[in-house]
Amino acid sequence: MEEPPLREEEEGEEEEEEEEGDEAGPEGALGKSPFQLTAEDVYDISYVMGRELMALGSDPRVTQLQFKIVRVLEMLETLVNEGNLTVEELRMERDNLRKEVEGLRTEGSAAGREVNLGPDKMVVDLTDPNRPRFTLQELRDVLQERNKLKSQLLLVQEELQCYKSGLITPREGPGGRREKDTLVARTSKASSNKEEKTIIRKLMVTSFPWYTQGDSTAELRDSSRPERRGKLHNPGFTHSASRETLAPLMPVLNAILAEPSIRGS
Amino acid sequence: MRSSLTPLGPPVSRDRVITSFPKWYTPDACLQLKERFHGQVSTTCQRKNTGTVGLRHSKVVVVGDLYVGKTSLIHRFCKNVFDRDYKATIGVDFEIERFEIAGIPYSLQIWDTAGQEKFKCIASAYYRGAQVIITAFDLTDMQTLEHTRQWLEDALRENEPGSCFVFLVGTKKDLLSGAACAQAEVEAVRLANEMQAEYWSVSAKTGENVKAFFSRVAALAFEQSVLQDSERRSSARLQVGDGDLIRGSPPETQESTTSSGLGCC
Repeated sequence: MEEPPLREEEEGEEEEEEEEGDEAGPEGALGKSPFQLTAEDVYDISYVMGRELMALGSDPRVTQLQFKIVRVLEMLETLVNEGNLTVEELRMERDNLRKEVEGLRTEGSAAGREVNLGPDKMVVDLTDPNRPRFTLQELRDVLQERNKLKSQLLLVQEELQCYKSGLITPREGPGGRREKDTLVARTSKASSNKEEKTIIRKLMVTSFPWYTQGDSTAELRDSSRPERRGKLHNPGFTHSASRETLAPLMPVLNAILAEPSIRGS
Repeated sequence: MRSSLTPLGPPVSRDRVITSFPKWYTPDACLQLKERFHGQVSTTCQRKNTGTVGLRHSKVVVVGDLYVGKTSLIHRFCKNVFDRDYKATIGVDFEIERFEIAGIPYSLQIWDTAGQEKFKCIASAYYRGAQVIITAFDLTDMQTLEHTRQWLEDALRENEPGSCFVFLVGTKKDLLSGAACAQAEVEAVRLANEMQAEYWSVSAKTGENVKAFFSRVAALAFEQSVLQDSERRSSARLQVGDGDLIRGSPPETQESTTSSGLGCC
């Protein structure tokens, strides 16, 4: 419908310039809607006006008017060129946006089917390295494991402190003595016949009976029952002196290992 | 057997030895006004007749909004450090602090819970069995004080009614002028009374009141443990008549003896 603007011809535009275009065209340009004018139409108009000015003769007033008309036509040319360029840009942008919207619409309807499964649903970007990926139960397990390790560390530190301050000598360290208490018979059995064990290992066996057992979780669960826990680790009665030394922390640690109480959230 | 009860574990550091009953922060909101140990407790401790599992440690749970400084408070007390950088607690953490109270070894098992809402379902599993609930808020942010109601309610829900000591602790005292602090304390004391809690203002950064606060917590918990334990044992004695237990006067009359000297050190 419209012709591209012809900017390269701007320079040589003079009112005297003779247009050799189509004979019917020049007059027709004046009848067009201003919004549809092209640079070509402006040239046609200047041709028509130049021709009529020439017919008026060489009156100096006509010459003066001619300069002004040329200037006005130049302005019109610039405006038309500028306007057409903008229209062209906008048209291209509109087409791009149209395509984009269409793309999103088809994509959206595909994705929308998954997202709209229900309320409280979340879409996860699988390429995001920080996406949520662990379950609550996994975090709980990790925390419990951490608590257990921390309590064991504390116990070991305590034990080390005992050795350092000379409260226990390595010979009478935990597990080295015979246990009289039948409640801890299994513990002493496990440790008494293995002299090569390190002190720390002995300590672990003494403090955490399940340490040597296969099914550690079962032991853990079992010892978390308060009544059993109380008997197993009640430090105040029949234990050897070395057990006594470890006593203060044991119920505390056992309580920690029993945490948290299992419950649905 | 009795003598074997006395030297337990490596020695407790000097500033964890409590011989006289630690004082309240403000008489306007405190759990008790006494300035010495319960008479019966002193007597029991003098006789070193506390050797049962029940009273060797207390569970303390610290709750409150995120960024009020729960972890900082605990770290200041247990490790004597202050980290300027904020690091959110993941789920829960714990520390064990050993004391010697009235000559008896005693431990606090301090549970540090996450303030972030998303961890509530994990942290709340650790509320159960608390002897002490510490609800912390930021003295410079009164919104956090308002939220302590909810935190306390959540913590109490997991425990037997009336079984917990409740403390309300305003943190970051160093950030306020004396006048501003006093103003915040008026509100806090009012809420503490409503909660039947004891009020404390502390600063983990400077360490102000931190040790005094935890000593108070430990002493109150210890005293309650001893009393509950004696009660349990005296009722057992009535049934079984174990010859190993004290045959002295009943608890009620012992209370009237105003022995403040603990005779333990």
